[in-house]
Amino acid sequence: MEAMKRLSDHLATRVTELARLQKNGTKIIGYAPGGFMPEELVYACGAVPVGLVRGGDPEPVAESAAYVPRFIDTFCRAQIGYRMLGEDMLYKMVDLLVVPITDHNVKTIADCFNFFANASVFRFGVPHQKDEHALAYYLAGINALKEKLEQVTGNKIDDKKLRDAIVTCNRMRELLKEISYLRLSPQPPLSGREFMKLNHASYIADKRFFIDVLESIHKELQKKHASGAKKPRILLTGSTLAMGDYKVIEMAEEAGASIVIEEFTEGVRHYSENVRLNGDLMTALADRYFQRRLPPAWFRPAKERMDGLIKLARDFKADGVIWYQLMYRSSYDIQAFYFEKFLTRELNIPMLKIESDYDVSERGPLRTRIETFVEIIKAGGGR
Amino acid sequence: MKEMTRVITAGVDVGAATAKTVIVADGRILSYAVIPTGDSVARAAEKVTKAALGQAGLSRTDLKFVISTGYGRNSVSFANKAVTEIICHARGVNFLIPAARTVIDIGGQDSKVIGVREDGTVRDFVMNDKCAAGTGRFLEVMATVLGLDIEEMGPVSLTSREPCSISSTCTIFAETEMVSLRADGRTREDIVAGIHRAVASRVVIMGKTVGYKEQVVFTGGVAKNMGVKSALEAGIGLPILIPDEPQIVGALGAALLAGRESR
Amino acid sequence: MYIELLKLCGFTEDEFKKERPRIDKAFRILGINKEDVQRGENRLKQNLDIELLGVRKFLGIWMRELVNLVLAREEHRKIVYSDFPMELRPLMSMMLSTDPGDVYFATPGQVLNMTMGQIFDKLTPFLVAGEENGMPPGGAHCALYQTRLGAMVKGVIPFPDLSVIASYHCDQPAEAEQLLHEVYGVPVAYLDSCPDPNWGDWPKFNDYRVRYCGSQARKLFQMFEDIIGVKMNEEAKRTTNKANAIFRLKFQQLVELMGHADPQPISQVSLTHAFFLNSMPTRNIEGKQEALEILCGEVEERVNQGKGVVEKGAPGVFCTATISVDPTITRMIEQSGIAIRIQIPFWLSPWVMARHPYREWADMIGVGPCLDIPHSGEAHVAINLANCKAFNVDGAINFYPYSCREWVPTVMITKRTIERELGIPVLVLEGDCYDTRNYSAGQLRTRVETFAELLRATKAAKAT
Repeated sequence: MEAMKRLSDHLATRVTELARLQKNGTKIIGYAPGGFMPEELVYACGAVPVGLVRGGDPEPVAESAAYVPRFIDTFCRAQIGYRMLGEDMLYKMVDLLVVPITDHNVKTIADCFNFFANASVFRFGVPHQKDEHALAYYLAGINALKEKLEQVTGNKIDDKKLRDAIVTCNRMRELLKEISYLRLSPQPPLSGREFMKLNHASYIADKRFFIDVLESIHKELQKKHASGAKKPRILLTGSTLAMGDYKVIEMAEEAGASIVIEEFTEGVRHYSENVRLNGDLMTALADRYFQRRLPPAWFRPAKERMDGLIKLARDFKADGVIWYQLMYRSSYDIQAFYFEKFLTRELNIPMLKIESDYDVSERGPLRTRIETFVEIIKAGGGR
Repeated sequence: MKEMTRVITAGVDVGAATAKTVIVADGRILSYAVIPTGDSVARAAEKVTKAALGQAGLSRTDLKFVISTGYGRNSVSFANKAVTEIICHARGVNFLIPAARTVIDIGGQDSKVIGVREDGTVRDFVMNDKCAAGTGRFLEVMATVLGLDIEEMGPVSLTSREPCSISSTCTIFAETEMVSLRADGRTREDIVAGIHRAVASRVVIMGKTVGYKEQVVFTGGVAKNMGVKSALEAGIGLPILIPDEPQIVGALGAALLAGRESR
Repeated sequence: MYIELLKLCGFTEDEFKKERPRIDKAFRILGINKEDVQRGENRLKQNLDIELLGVRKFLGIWMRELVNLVLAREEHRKIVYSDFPMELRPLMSMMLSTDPGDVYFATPGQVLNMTMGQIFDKLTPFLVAGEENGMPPGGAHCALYQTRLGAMVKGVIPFPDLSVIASYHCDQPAEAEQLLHEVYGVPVAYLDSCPDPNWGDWPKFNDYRVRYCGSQARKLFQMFEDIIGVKMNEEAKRTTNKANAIFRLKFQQLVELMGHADPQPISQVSLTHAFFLNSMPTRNIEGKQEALEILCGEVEERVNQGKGVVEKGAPGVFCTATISVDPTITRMIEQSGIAIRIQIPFWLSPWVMARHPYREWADMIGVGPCLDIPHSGEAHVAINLANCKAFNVDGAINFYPYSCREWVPTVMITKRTIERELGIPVLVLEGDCYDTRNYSAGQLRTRVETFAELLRATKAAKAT
């Protein structure tokens, strides 16, 4: 697709472009993913947000051992590694790193950036349950973030600018969702791999350019005719699906399955909800980013996430679930245990749990497991 | 008459693979011996000490004080005291290379990075004794798979122009990774160079908490391997010195410490 | 069969006769056999200052709590559990202070650790059961929660009617208890907050965190009242706080006495029993104040006599984690000639002490934790540094429980900070506070002995 090529070219030079913008006075605001960072606030003060979501490489994980013991979530260690290795321009160039504090693994990123990289870091907390007090807490957090951004950029965030930013981000999310949900069809017009590349690009690409690309792609895909044999449909779920960590998706699709939906911070949780433009804008942001967001594993009660996953599996007619566990993300690990029981009880479809520490040597064993799982589904097993 | 005035001490270093004894008198090395440990630590300690004493024309009664070190240090019945190998290594290196401030020790089973002070005492240290990656064992396993003698590994690695990247952190998985590199048609020297880089990389990262200060000295059984030396230098960005007999550094340090104790 | 053992735990003949039927029953349920009893006796004699009456009295308290825990379902109408963090203790105490006596409160993980772990070294069956039922090995799951779950699943301890947990202290408890809820139907009450202070803020904190903590505590109390069926009252809360504060302040005195004494008068292991009673609700724990007073007196006597378990003049260290289940590691450190002046988190730092000791509960819940380790990595490092300074230590042992995501992030940061600010050496040791299977004194010995030698050499150099 021509639009994909345009996007590729754009991404290839994006970091250079950001450096140029930065040189001319624009602030580049990085953030740790988790999904609780309202990018809109960054746009509204004239800065550019970039999600630091790289992962999948073993070297940064190994490098992080000099700064923190290994028993922290792999993705979080990778972030520390990217920064300390100093080879990734994006990690070094950010004027501020915003870290919404969710669990202790993410907090580690903030602590290490603060101490070892002497970076500017701004944290605000994300409560682990959703009552009115928690919402108020989150709102207080993003208000503090707003003040910090105004201070860093020297620009005030007024309602008009914020509204514009929300409209833009909403449009992007809407398009991502429409494209992603084309996979509801019995013969998805794009693969999980193709979609994830698009989704990951949303963290770095220029928003307006990206929206343009998405609109082209959406048009193209809608014209595509359904073809080919029906493949086993898989819901892929977990904590983090990093940019560059495509091995699981690739292996599953090479084995003849279709990843029809990804439930991760960088998956459906990223684009499924939009900000409602009524009333106070900060409250609207809190409502979308906290209240209505599909919860991750460390939210209580877990039932909300369980129900959300079951619904996704049902809507997308998943034949199986692959639970992609990064090492030492304990809340997800425990949830995997009892989620499987729910899945069996509600939908009677099989689940495969696989683990990764971004180690090269995992590929062989992972492929074996994934291929076997796909074969089991093809043979009608698990039911 | 001379024997009665000079103070003769011994250091006995019993590692998992080899046992070493160094005899020292008044701050000078008189003799030393190295033998394989075999399956009895106690017997190896006796045997290697006897050998070293024999070379110097001495007997056990001439020894004023004996310090044992290494993995088997608590099984040397004739030792007056047991001191850890880290302390002994620092002391030994300080004697051989007084300007040493960092010691990288890679043995058959473990690896250490030691920060050493001017006076030979330890400032800080870190060690890995749980994981084979980053130790001589890693190299041995790979040598077997490649059909090379362990002594050939270093020289072969240095002939590589494009070392492979072997990123598995586990010895067992690195073996698999290596096999698949072979299948992909990578040359033997490139793979061997990759293995050396992998060993070095594990140790270099581990030692960052201690920090690397010149002079950096490389000791332990693996110090004879020039490929690892080269990879370590590339990893820390500093030149590395190797004492003439890197294997006896621990026993030497123990003998020197014994000299202090006997005063 | 176990009268000797119980004597070592401070039981008198009369007490033994009276309590025997219950102890018999509990030991049967726990599967404690002759071999276990012998091992227990040996371990007590080897690892603790068992000649001290205070130590024996505390052991007796824990032994009785084990029996109470195992028999709780048949002896009480309702059961409430919690465990770490310590901030929950005042909430628990306040809840139980209102009750007429038919509700049983416990920190089952701690109880099992101090008895089945420290005394009998028989936690493995619970750990394995925990691993098989939701927290598999290899994922660095916290062994405290594996033990709790395992013991419940094996039917050795009852499932509670309510589990009280903090969901910000670390990631494990909240999810482990969610599992308990989703799979076994146990209601869970969460004290939620966020560990989000910015680097540079400490010791200041956001007042909206206090408000949030307060609101969560109120929710917790409401759930307690609904499920357990008792009403809480302000007077009871105040009385309990006062009693807790008195115990805690006395313990602080003991800790300071220990920390400034040379030679180190008793093993740090002998303090663990008193300390972990802090996380236990206070009512019905008869004799704990008395035991503490006795122990203080005995330690004072030792200090006056210049008696100790480590030689005089030995280098003193700050040790960052308190190992309850495997006392041999702490002993090994002391036997290498290192005096442990203070362990985390025994000592109440000035920021906490500055608050009025009988402060209001909302303030305490909100503020106390804000000044404490779980909320902020910066606080964690600063508190470690403050401990070193307060006790003028020669070095620090940064022992970290490998499976604790709350502890692990700041390990290297603490080391660098202490080295830089105080110029003293820091040893990093990886281990496990609760599971003895993967880490042992033998494995850590080389590092500890090297560190001891290093400290002695540094101390000698400073003296010349």
